[in-house]
Amino acid sequence: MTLSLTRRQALLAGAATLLAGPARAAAPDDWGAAFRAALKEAPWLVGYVSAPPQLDCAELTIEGRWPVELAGTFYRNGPARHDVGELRYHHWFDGDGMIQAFRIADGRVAHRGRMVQTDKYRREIAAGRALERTFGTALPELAPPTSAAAVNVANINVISHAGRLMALWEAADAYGIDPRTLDTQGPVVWRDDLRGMPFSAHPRQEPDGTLWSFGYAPQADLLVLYHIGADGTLKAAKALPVPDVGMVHDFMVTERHLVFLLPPISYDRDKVKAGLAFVDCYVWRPDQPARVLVVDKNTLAITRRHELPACFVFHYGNAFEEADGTIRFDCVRHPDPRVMTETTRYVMRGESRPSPATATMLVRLDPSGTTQTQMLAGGVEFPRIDPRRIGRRHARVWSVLLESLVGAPSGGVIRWDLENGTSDVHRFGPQIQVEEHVYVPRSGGAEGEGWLLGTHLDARAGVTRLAVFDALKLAAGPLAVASLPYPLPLGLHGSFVPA
Amino acid sequence: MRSYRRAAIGVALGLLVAAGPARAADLDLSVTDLRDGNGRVMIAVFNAAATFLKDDQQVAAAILPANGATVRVVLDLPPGRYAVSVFHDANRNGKLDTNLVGMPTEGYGFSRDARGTMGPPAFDAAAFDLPAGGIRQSLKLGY
Repeated sequence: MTLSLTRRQALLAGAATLLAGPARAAAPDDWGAAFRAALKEAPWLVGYVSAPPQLDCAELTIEGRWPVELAGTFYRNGPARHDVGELRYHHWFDGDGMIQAFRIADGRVAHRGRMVQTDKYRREIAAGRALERTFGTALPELAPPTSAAAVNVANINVISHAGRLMALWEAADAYGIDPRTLDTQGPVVWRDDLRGMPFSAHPRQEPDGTLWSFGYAPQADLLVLYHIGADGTLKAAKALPVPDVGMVHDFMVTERHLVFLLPPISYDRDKVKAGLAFVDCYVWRPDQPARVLVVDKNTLAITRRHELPACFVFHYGNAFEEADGTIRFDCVRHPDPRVMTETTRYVMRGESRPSPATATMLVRLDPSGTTQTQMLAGGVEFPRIDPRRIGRRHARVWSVLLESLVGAPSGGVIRWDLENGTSDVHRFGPQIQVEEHVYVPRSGGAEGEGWLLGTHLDARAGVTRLAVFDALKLAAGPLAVASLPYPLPLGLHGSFVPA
Repeated sequence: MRSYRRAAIGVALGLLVAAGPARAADLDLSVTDLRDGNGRVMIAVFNAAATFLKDDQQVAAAILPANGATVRVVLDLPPGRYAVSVFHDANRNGKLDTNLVGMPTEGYGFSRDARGTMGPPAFDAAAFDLPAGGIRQSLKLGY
């Protein structure tokens, strides 16, 4: 069944998900009520309302001139079902994943959104209630999950590799998604003994099509490495023992190495046994350094270790290696993990607790063991680079400009040109929440030639819009903006797949 | 949970001998939420915390074909206190398969739907009393 919703219908549907339900049990706590009350006062919270399970719009309204050369599908993923029965989750990262597909052809844009039909989602739909503890919610009526795979919400990223579209979480399997219908095909099994294994939301695809991924298993203190060929088959997998592996959300590749930064955040088994939610089992240790592990791509063994001042990092732009073995990379530095432990938690009750300011951090790891860091001012998140430069020297990084990941009054987009230290900025207007923007190269063009493509939620109008920029002229403003007639839940990451 | 291969052998023996004791009570056990019809369902019954989930320490066992979303078996046991562990041996290799990081990759469950954190539940969490008049117990598999 195709469901086409107007904005009003979509808002009503979202509200219905929050409010409705025949003869419901009492809410387990006041999080849902607190959120509904806050939503009346703060329109920007519409980005945290549960989405209807499917959304379709045959043609978005376009202002400006959409570049005709830009043809393909822009896929995004993010938490979209924040309420299950009467329970409202206690963390933004808990919500079940929903894939948004913007199909772009002949200067026109269509949209389709579908929930990822994970095992968890299907079982909870059948039961009519939330069943198990999640990343950030551990109410007494929720059972401990039987495995990480049982609570896989596939809600962080969506990538295409070797013709296979995959919705990614990070603590269990990738889910295969039909690229056209967005129907869920089921968990991707790379090898029988890898079922249910942690598989990151941020694999890195090299220019030759090789895909590298990893997973962290804090219960077992293992870092799992995956080497997947350009044809989509597994070449190697290895579990490396890493004491106190903690939480590792993203990583980097160079021509010869995989590079991991381990923030000083410990997984406390006593807290696990006490029945706390996964995120609450972590302890921040600012007195400890962040560890950097450098892994040889051929042997999958750790060959170098470095230390950096304590910091928390979700995302990396890129890493590359110089002739003398120096490894350089850029990332978004958080001074501490409050973005995860507070900001993205309390927004689920409608509370704005800004996260500490971030910065783009440039890092040099000398073969001698010396490390150097340099900060570029300006709060950012969601860094992206030219996909053709992954693991090679890159000169530009595009990020979302924001004061805080949640509740920012006005966000923007920024490009740093790393060779000369200059930046190019566009700020959207008030009440605009900016999501990840993706650089799309022009076919045959040099690094940076092409477009920057991304969504933003206009809280005043109550709609999500897709903007396209000349990637080298952000300050000139978008070339065109395509508006949906409804809002989408604020999401995380995505990919552009050329036609 | 490596005990199941031996548990499987124990079943056959156990069922042969089970005819003996008088005053047995019926444990009418249903296992629900099987994901598919592959392989078999392996059931082991324990009667003490000290022997719970230990190799060859089960007091009864059963192997059932996984021929539906729910499978059922009636076990004759002396009245007492018991805990049951079950797994879905979908590939018929006699063990609860785990992946490279040690997480189960086949469905499993315990009586009273007890769940552990970082491992199986304690005996007491899964234990129930079997009275002389018998009892029905139902447990869900989780994958």
